[in-house]
Amino acid sequence: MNELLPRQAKVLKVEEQTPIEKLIQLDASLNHQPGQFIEVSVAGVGEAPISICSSPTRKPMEICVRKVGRVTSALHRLSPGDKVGIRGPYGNGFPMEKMKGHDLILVSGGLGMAPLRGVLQYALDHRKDYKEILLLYGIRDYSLMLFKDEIMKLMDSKDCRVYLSYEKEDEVCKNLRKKCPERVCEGVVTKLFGMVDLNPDAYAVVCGPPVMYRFVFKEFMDRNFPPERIYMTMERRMKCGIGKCRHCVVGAGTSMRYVCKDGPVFTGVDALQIKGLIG
Amino acid sequence: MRYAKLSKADFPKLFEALKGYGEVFAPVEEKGKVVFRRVENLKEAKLEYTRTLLPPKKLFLPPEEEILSFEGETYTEKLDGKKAVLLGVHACDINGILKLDRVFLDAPRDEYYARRRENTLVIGLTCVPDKYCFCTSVGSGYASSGFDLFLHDLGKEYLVRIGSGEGYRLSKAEYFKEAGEAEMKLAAKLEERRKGRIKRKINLAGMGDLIETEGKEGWEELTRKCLACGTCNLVCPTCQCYDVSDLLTLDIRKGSRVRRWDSCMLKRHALVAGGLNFRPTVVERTLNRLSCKVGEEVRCVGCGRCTVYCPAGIDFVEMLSTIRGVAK
Repeated sequence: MNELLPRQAKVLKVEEQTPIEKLIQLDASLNHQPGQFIEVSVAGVGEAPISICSSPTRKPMEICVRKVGRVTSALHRLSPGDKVGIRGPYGNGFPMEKMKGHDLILVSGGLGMAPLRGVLQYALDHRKDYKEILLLYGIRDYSLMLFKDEIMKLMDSKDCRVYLSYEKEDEVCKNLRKKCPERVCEGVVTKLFGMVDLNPDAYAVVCGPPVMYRFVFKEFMDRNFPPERIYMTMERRMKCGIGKCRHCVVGAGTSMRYVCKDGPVFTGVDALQIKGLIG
Repeated sequence: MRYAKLSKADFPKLFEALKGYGEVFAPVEEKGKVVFRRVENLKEAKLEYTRTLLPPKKLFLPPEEEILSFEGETYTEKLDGKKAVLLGVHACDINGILKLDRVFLDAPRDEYYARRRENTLVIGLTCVPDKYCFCTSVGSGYASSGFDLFLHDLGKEYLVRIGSGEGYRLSKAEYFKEAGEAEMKLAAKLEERRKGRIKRKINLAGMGDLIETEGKEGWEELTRKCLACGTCNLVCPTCQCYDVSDLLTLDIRKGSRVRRWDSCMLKRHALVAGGLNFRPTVVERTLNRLSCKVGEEVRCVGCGRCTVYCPAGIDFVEMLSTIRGVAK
């Protein structure tokens, strides 16, 4: 089989999430792990790695695309019925089985919510298998919050404890903070660590912009959280997705990894050993 | 291993047999450089040479190739089934091919590379080393596998090592004779003499750790002359990086997906959409290149090309010796 040959997938639905992000439903079933990604092709424009933002327990498959380059701009122009090319799923994904029987602490910043939504959906769909589920979500302001309806619904639910931080206060955020001051605050996502007790038996699942990792990692380390229980998913330039083109390589000296093949999910131990992994 | 011998007078007969298999590519002298090029006649080939400008990987991973064509959103693969022969490949380059095999043939295998590799005979040949060669320090001065036939120049004849089924079938031609003890001993002696001519040495023990812990000032000094042009990558037998782009016809209905060699020394290698560059400076990119070549594992085959062709005169071995702290 030629791994570089995309197969067609029909676009079922396109939904605006924020002014820069769209949720795209694809008619495809890949039996993926939360945290895995696909290479999405728009013929004539190119291919881009996009993380799958739905759980394999929910159909159809969804991707959340931020308009940031040529391929993602082309994806934003899609309408239902259009076709794209897809390859994958690629990468290791989050170890959902291994984390069963433990608390989950999900930490996400901005678009990092996209891959974590798959983890969250999976855990909610197997709610009995996991203990406490905590979501720490940092946004710039309400207009840029992803999956608004789902997150707001979760804020009122007992299935998951949602903590929210925002950098710019608007009406919605202000009201949320007034309503729930012990879970909502102004500032970056690391500020939320002051509001939660970290169970050292928990597993942490982290995704956010590249700059976020070292600060989040420090919060965990300052609280003596075991690094092997932290799972972080990384962004790099991934052209082939299968460990050949070597654009996404990270590390130096004796520790080098492909983000596409060995990751994109790495542990806190990897962060300690692979130079430059979290900056 | 099976052995045979071939008189040089009979080499044209082998050449004809190879031509019967497929297009033959051999080292040819062009404008003062030796390059692998298609030949029709054995006389065109320069069999005694030191190193080609580009390594033979170009036959398996072309500098540019169309991998897919598309019309609308329907993609069609462009796989090549052409048979070819790569004649006159040195041990270092065969070891380079073996290292690339591990990248492109490991699952999921790259069909384009795999097909070409399967359809191409590799005929090895003993080399003429110069002062830039250091294959003996990186374990690639001898090819134990990765060829169909390997020819050891004994003067008037070749001792031939047979490395594959196809090589075995070729060796059944009447012009191949049985090799005896005398040829074996002579080949071993000449091999020893050839290795003795490779004076350049490099000590790679613990190199990955040294590269990882070299300080900022050290790196700045090491990379001061570097133009970040990527020549070292293009001439390297084990550089695998490639980039992919889509090309459209003018009516924008059809097009092709093309991949090209890329270079980790170029500024945009680790640049992602949105403008973030994970290796923005030449220091980070050199750290990555050296780590890739001699850090996590030894992927360098000691051919010397990156030093010989560097327009800034950067010497790969000297750079690593500086990191070790033993440079002259």
